[in-house]
Amino acid sequence: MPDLNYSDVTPIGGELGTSMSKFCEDGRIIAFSSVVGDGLSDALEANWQKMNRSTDHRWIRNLAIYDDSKNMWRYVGAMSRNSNQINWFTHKGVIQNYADAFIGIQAGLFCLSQEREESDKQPLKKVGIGFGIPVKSGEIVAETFFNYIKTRLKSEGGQKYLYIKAKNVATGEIKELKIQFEFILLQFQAYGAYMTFLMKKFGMRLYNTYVVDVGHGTWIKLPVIENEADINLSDSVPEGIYTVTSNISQLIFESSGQRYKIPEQRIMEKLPQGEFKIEVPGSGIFDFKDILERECSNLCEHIIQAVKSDLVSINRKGKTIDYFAMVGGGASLIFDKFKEKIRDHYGWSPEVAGDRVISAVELGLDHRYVNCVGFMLLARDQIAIELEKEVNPEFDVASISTDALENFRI
Amino acid sequence: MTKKVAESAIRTDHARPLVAIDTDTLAIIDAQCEEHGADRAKFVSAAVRLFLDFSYIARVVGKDVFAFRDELIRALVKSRGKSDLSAEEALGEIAKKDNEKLGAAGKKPHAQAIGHDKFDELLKEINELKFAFYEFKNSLDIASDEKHFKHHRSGGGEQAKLKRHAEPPVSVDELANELKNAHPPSYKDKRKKLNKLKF
Repeated sequence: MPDLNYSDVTPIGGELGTSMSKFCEDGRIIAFSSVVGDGLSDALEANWQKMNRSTDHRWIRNLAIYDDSKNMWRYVGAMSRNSNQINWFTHKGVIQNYADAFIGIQAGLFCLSQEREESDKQPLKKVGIGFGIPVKSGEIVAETFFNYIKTRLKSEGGQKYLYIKAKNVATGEIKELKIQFEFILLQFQAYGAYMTFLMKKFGMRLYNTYVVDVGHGTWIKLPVIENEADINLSDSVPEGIYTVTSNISQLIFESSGQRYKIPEQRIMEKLPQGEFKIEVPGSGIFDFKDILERECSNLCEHIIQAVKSDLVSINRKGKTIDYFAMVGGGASLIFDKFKEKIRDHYGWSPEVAGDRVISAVELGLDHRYVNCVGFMLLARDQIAIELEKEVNPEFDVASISTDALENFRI
Repeated sequence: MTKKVAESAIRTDHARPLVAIDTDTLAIIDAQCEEHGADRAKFVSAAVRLFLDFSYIARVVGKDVFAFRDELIRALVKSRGKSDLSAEEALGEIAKKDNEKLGAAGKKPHAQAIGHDKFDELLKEINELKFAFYEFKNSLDIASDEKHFKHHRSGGGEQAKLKRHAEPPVSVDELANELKNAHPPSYKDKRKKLNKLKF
């Protein structure tokens, strides 16, 4: 018998990454920095509003969420630039503070709902969430984080509701939202990517897939054999693009005679633009292209060593890997190297390697968002199962909103 | 170097022109015929068929027949613990290993015996390989026929038929697909309710 309670549940995908949190609903994706900070005092906030000359007044850029556990406003994502002290939800791939992570979930759901409203749709009412958590702490965090979330929900008529009070600090507008939580499905972070490939690339066929997710602070490995994540081989390693950029920062510091420390964030910002030169005061222009290349090769080598070791274990069990997938923000820097290493390992021709080593780009997706899309598909599939229906594997990402500055003019 | 053309030649069963073969090649053929107790016609016929089989297999894996032969020998030697050798070195290694084996067994290595053992072993492995590739070929033919049938039904007609004959028998995509799990199970049959945390 189909469970009709699920007929009005909206599937949501989400993950709290080390640098960016991403949430997905149908064709909408929102992404913001995984950071919260304490709000300014009322007087200071009023002053800031008067002096703020930015024309970017979007909610995602200027978001504050009311933290009822602390009875205060907390700034989320880019807005935390005005906070005295900031906290990242995750550090080394592990959720550090449940209250902050909960604010992150509230912020994600609020922004998705806001995006819906801006597209003349009803705000979110009832959700089922597919949620990615870091692998290393997966087993422990799943239950305790879920229990924490439960304590923060309000009970009404046997149902659980999430109340969100949000403020657009730039405009001063305050909105409240009430969302019914039907279920949350916690999964290994990289499993989202597998779901996306399964539905979009594999045509709903089960291929054994080895997923590597290279993020900002960590890289995660997750072999999925016969649709099941191999728990023994999955791992989260505290090394990522941050390692690469901070090493470059350190090298610049040393080459400048320990006079100037260029924040790694400034190096990070240059990468998406394909810029590899940075001005070091007193030392001139520093070209870090070669160092970047070397650092990325080192990171790739660490990854490939772990992959090769896992392949031995997988083969011993009489299993083989059909596809190797690399996803995550770091994939744009590492993917080609990874593909080449896998090709060397198997002695494949470039054509075969091109077919067997895959990335989100061939699905028309950014490396960073493939996981949250997959978790949305996972939640959608679970809703379809409850309703005894076939799942719709299609998705079309129509809009991506981030907390990065838009429409900048003075 | 221009090779001398032998006075003798091989006549086919049918009334077709004679095939002129140089003396060196003819000497090899005669030696092989003597070794295998076969006449020239039978030997040439077997050699041609073997060559066709090998060139088909080589084409499937994207190599020419000689490069494929080298790879094959290398793979065999690698499986015995040696790697990165040229074909010639590889064959030498096999012979050396076999000599050592015979020596250890208290037998005097004999060139012809070694040749036979080696040849038999190689043939055995090649036969296994051939069997695997025939299976592979059959599955590709089935896949190709299905594809053709679908295309034909969707209105491809005679044009599609002609195009099919013009295409190489195996595309890189098909090859890559074939080396993956050829018959992956469907997710639809395996999907199940996961342990959802319900509020």
